[in-house]
Amino acid sequence: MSFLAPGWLFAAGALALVVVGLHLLTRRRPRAILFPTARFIPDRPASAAAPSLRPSDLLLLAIRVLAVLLLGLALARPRWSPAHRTSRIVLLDQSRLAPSIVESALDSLLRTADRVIGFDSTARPLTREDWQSPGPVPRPPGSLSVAILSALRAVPDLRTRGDSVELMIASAFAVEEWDAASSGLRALWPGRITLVPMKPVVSPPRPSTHPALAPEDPLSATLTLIDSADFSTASLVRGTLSAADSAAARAGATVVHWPQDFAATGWSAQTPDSVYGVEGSGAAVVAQFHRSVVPPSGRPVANWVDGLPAATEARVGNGCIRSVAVPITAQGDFAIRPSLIAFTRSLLAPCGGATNATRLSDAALTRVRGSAALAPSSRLTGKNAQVFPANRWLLTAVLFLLLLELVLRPRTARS
Amino acid sequence: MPWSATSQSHPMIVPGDYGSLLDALAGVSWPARKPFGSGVAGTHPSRLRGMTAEFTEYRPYRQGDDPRRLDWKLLARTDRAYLRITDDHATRSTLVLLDASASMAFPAPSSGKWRQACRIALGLASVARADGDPVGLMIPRDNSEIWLRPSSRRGVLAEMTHAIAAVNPEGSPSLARGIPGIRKGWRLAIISDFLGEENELLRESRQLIVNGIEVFALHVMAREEIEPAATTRLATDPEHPEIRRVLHEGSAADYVTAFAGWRASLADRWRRSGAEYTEVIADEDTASVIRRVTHGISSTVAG
Repeated sequence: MSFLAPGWLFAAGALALVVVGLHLLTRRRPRAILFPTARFIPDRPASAAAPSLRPSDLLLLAIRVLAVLLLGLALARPRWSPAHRTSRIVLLDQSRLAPSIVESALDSLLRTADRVIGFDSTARPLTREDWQSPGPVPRPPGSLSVAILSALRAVPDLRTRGDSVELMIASAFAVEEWDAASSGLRALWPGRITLVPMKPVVSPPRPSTHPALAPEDPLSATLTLIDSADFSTASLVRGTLSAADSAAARAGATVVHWPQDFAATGWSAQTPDSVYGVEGSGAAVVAQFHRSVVPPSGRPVANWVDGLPAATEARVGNGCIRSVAVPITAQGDFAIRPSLIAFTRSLLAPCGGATNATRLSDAALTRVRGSAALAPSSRLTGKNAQVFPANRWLLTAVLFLLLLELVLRPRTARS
Repeated sequence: MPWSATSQSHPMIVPGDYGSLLDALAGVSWPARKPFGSGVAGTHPSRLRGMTAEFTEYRPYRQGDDPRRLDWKLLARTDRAYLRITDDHATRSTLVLLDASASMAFPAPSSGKWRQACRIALGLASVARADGDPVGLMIPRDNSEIWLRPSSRRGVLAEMTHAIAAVNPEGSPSLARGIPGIRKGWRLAIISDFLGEENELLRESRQLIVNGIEVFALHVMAREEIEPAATTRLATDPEHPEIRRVLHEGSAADYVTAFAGWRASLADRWRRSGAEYTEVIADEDTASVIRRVTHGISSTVAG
């Protein structure tokens, strides 16, 4: 038990001692009697101090002392504090860590941690019963924002287990995992975070598949200016998708479906219009584009300047199919413009977008780690520790004792 | 007050608690301390020499003497004229002056001092009545007084009992107020705690004593006044509420000394005045007290 205002306990103790002292002195008016020969009594003050401990006074003394102590206890606002125990939350970056490593560490983590959460682009609690291998890399890129947010949401269930929470993140701490929301979410965690940097699993290299395009295809010129290394996981389909393409996507490849003829794709048609720019993954192309179709639903990876999606990505198995509705013309040098080359390069990135596995700088990791103590559970939940619910009963008991003292006091004076 | 059957020594009906007292006083006599002149024949020796059969002496005849008192036989034998002198006896009216002030109602709730005073008053009256003396009662009150003129009729004790039973000690009446009405030749028994106007009472009593009246001062006290308990109490004088003192273990010794000193002074002054002063404790045997008084055994209580 702890007290919100412990000073009242000391005050109550001091006051109780004073009450005891006053009681022992028994500075009260003596019993009045009629005494005919009172004139012969020496004329001295009408009250005299004399030590006395009669049984009735002891009861009155006990009632007064108990009332004072209970009042001090009530004013001190006792609270039941959670046991001095540190809860532990472990966040495992499943986007970068080898599944075998995660599985081997899971049992020991489940024994020592109160909650084990696996995260990539989403977060989920990990248990032995519903453990599933996340599959070979590449996987959806991890997000430290998602990880921290999942830890914040997990704390309320842990509050009853301890008064402080230790957060541990095992991740590659890649730059791409830190986004604009990460700093704000980190600030919500009022304690230090234990970081366990781990080597990311690198996607196995695939043979270069520089797509063979027809010479008249304007993109062929663009592709010749792109490094073949950028094609490590991507294959470009300019016609219709085949079953082989779908299989490749399921196997983990990035299939970029960038039709030459949008009419044969079966994509949703839109009112033909013109738009003068498209942007994707930081690469922007300014030109006049004649839009006629809308790419299939999926995660937008490129947008027209008016905000409509120009290219979408749909997860298929371990890979993805990226549908690009940006018409490429053969006019002029459009196909070899640096902006188009960069735009095309971004569309050929692995599923989930271009990745940057570079680890955060030491300074950034220090900021993530923090230097404060462990996070108190009460701050994470925004609630005070449970206030001792018997405060009202303490005050009721004090009131009862005071009434009892009023009743007993005249009887004691008469005795 | 319950009434008992007829007392053995007194044919009238007297209250039960007084009846045993009166029985205990049967045969007790209260003789006068000194001969006094009285025209009524009684039991007390008279200063006057009368013509009773109790011969005491011869005295030569002087001119002017009553010739009827001549002893003619002696004259015939000796040719000398002598008077035959004998002792005479007379009655002495006894008045009991009873203090019914508030201080007599102590200790509460028994009012032991008042009860003892009442018993002494009736006991003395009974003894005097048995000697053939008229007895009377005076109980001064704040605005009035109870006055039973000395009488020797049969019902005087019952009347006194009735009068006493109707009184509750209260107020601060002056005892000295009734003294001037006392006649020569009476005997006065003052039963009081002398916590009122004792100086005035003593002064008036001295005048009586000078005039030949026997004065008996019976100082009634409660044992609690002589030996107060050691508990701390706020003592208030019932007749003077402004007097409030704390009586505790520390002041008890001083109180006892002061009270004893006052009592000693009081006794000395009364005795020097010629009165018989007797201290009586409220819980003392009343019959013993009366015997002490009637036999002239003055006493003071130790302490």
